[in-house]
Amino acid sequence: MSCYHHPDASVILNAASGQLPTIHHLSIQLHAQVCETCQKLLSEFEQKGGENLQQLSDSPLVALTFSALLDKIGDTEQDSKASTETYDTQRILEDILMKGTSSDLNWHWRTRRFAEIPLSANDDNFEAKLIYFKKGFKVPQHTHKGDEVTIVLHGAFSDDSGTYKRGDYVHKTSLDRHSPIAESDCICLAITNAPLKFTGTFGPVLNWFMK
Amino acid sequence: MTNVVAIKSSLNSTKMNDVENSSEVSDLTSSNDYWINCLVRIAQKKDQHAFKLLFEFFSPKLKTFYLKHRLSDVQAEELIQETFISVWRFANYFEENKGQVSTWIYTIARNKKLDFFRKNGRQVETTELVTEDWAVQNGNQFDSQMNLELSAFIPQLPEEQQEIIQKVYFEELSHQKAADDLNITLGTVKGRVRSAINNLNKLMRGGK
Repeated sequence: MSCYHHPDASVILNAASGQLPTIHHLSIQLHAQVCETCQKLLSEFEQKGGENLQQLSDSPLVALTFSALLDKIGDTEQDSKASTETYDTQRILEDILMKGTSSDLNWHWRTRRFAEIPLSANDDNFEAKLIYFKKGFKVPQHTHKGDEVTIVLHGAFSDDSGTYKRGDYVHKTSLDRHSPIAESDCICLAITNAPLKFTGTFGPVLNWFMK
Repeated sequence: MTNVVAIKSSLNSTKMNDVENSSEVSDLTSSNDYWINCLVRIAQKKDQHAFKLLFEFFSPKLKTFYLKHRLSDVQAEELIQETFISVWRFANYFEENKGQVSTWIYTIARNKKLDFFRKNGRQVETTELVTEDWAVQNGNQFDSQMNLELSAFIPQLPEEQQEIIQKVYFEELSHQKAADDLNITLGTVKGRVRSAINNLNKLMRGGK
């Protein structure tokens, strides 16, 4: 299975060189798990990063010693909950992408056919959500104040520009106006750098829901 | 190939200290097999000596890496510590996939940096060109069937484009510094980066 909608090579380059914010970075990793070609380019760039690291000059450590590191590892091994929220979010998203579902999903149903879960991995500049549309659900026409990146984790949806399936990377800007419709039960990761704004008849009501 | 075998057998012997003290050290540390062997030992035996070899080689380089991102000494060493805690804890994941050890450590260190920036509300710095592109491009996305051939993409770029990607994105020189280093104009730097990206997009689409 290969994807049809991909990030631009510059986005992959930014991901590899550590210049994308965590949540956007995660969306590239998810896409690359399904798309061999993007994975290949990402790996090639990451290899460049590794080679560069290996060739960097040395800067002496001031405080950190190897024995202090071992002590710290001893301490943290007692604490099995050392994993951060980012890893939990990543695990949930990967489960949905690879297995179609994940445990412990607490969907907030906004209508009978539309649910969402706000994700904890977001930072102040981004809003990240898991979105669930039941088959046939049509999201009212909307625009975005900023950019929106969507990764299809399960199922498919379509809009005027095409059909988006599992793994597809969809980037909409403030210039795009669209009304996606779910082709099947569909779960997506949606990341926005500004809240989306509904523009149709029921827009004001839905905007209220999205708060 | 004989070299690789020799390195492996010398590592597998109990005389690792002798190897470290010999003049072959610089050859060893540039060998991926040497570092793979260290990680395998950590994964299988929780070998602290192998862990120490990795720490001693990579931590001063990671320090340089973090300092380049304008982190303080304290912050840099905090992230080095976190990176090596992950190396210790997840060595078994590396063992399943193998690959380049330097790449693996780089990706862990890079992700620690991103997490640190996020937690501290600090903007991830982007290169000059990226910001411009976001303003002018209508979506950083393209729609295509992809190239599934196996040959690597980057080596297919002209030498000068590979070089500019290396300098701007991985050595993280400013465009001006890269221009000075290569004795070319700022416009040429930007042009080469743009051409490299366009070529990569074409290569990924199978040359179309």
